Amino acid sequence: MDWSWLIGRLSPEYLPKDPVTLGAAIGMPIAIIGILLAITYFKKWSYIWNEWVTTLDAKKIGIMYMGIAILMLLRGGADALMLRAQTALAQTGIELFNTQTFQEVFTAHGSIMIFFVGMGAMFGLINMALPLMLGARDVAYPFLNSVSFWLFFAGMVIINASLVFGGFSNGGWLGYPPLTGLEYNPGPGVDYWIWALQIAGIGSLLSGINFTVTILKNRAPGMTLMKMPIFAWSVLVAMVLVMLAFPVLTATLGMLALDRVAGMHFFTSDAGGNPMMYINLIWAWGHPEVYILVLPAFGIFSEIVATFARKRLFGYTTMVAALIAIMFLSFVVWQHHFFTMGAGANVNAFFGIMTMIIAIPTGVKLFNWIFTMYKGRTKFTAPMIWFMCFAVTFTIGGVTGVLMAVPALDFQVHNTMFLVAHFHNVIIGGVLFGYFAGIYYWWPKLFGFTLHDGLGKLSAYAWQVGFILAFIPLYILGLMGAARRINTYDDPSWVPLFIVSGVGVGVIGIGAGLMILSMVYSIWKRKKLADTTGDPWDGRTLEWSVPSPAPFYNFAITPTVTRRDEWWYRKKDGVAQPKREDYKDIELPKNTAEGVYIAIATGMIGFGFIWHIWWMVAVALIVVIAFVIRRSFNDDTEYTITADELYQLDRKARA
Amino acid sequence: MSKVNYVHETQQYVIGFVGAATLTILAYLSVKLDWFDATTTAIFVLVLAVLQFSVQVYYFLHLRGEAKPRWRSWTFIYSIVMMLVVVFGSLWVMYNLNYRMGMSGEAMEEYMLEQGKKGF
Repeated sequence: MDWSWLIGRLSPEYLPKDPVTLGAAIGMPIAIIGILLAITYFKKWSYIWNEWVTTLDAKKIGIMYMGIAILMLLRGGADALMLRAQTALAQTGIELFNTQTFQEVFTAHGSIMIFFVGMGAMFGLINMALPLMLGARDVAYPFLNSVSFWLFFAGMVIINASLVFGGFSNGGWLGYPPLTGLEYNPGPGVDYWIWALQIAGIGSLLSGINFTVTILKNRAPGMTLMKMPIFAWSVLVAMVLVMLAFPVLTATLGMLALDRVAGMHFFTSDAGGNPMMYINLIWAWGHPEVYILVLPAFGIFSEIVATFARKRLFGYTTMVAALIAIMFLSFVVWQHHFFTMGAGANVNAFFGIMTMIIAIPTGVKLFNWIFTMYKGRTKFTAPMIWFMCFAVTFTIGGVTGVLMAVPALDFQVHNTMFLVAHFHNVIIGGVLFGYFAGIYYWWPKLFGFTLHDGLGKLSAYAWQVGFILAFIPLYILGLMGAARRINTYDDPSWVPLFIVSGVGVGVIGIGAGLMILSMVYSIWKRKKLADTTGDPWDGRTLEWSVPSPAPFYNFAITPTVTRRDEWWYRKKDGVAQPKREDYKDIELPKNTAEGVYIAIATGMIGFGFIWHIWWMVAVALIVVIAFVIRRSFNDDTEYTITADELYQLDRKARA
Repeated sequence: MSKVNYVHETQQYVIGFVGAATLTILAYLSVKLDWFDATTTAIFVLVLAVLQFSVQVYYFLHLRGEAKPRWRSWTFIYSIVMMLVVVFGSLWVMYNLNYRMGMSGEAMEEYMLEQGKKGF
């Protein structure tokens, strides 16, 4: 009997066959079942459901984002280790994977690192720090925040499910057609890629709207835009970019999905379609995306450098001007990703020059940080070490970037290991180091104890050394002509460099291990590392004015801001103890599981599309719409904490 | 929100919705029922698109009579500028891609369509 109306194209032929994926496919479900059993055994289900799953508290949502991002960093890192092990060993006759698996692994590595590590860690840190920095009680739309997170989670589940069943896309992290079209990739792999990114991308778009409104509307009284911490500025610009760039991604992936399921021809090579249009559109999203990732990291460094140099940030206004310049320029450089696709000299020259220009505001920032440190009494804590590593690494990456902005030179290094080294240089050195610094910096505010500084520094050094070992050889290989995305090379003289690079990835792995170790050790020694003051770094911005860990209501009394670095100057002027009559009733959002349900249904839409189970798509779509309507007619979404209760809570938190 | 305001707002939304829906249906019918020849249809649909845009902006984006700071207007202007950059940038890039093939844009298009008919 034909069951395809019920189960679509699900069939046993899609079960994994080769040993590497088989191991992962068996290991992952066992690990998940183990975790679920452990939760049941320790009777933690109601705690997890009430305190975490249904929460609308931005700080907790931020912690969940960060947890997923770190988990995915390990997954993506394992992918990287396998890739470099393969290229190091291939010529010695040991083959870890065949070409297909190798392609799936690098696609998974790229997609996971950008969408689930980069975006996840970014939204995690923004959720943790932004409302506190603005003196806000919460984000503008707490419920939307929960929906965004769970959509991100649903995307994460889909991308990892491909490991167990069906295999992943082999089209690279941006999935260029015609390779990702139906003709060359009829299986579910590309669909997994499309729907994981599509769902997570919609979550990101909603978050972008949420944080933009939060910054424009929820600032503490007196905090004009030019009195905001630079982190808030960088988030504002990044979120404006999210709002404009992510619809392009959604539309492009949507068209690719239509090509694949509805027989359309947007990006096929025949019937009037044009795959080059896909490349054009995906980079119209893709280039703003890298600025979306890196700008919040710049913001984090701005806060960290000013705090630890114990000086106000040098050149606040130029910093803002640089951010706004990037907000415009990041939308006029995308063509530099495909100089070699066939455009004429005029187009290439325009985008090449624009790319060189965008390096200027970025350079301004770097000099601002250095001048902030100049004559400061800098404390070299772990976040500062991350900054120092960043300053070196990111500059190298930036310089090679400007190099590649010359179209004539790009023809030589396009699609080689040189490019791979360049963008890892800016993404690891810029984005990841920034977020790691942010984790070490804001950890005490979230959990009430600092992370062990020595282990943090060791981790930073390991990352830095590993980074140099892993990527400098790739620059050399790229210049010698080693194309990327190939599982084996014929030139024996390249083997030593590939081996060094493989070792480098191992050292980065040690760095990641040390980071996890520093967290585990600090949790173990949390009494000793406890932050009793709420201000362990002698901070400058408002988040350090509340006790650590930050209470669920953020600020018992909404602060009034009169200047930049409000908290720093308040400390100098002396902090007045709040009186009983200063406290007022406050309203907070009630917990709700509707975000989770919406995300589960959206995940099922994705699953239905991947496996062509159309009834599931229809049912899940109706469920999503029903929940959205139900939520919009629900007026009972907030509860009140009276001034008396708040007074008691605040006294207890400050004790 | 006062009662009068509420009624007024709802009215505005209803007008906007009916307007947007009408314009969409008109565009659909003009193509489906072959009201005009190809060129006229294209112009007609473009005009409807412009009207549709105005309806959306006027009735749903609330850009009129906004108090300072005019965030909605600023974000709107920025979005429009960036959209134009992406759209015209894309057109410029895409029509330039045949540069190294020694073909004019029209010849390229013709070639692509011909290949499409062959269904290679």
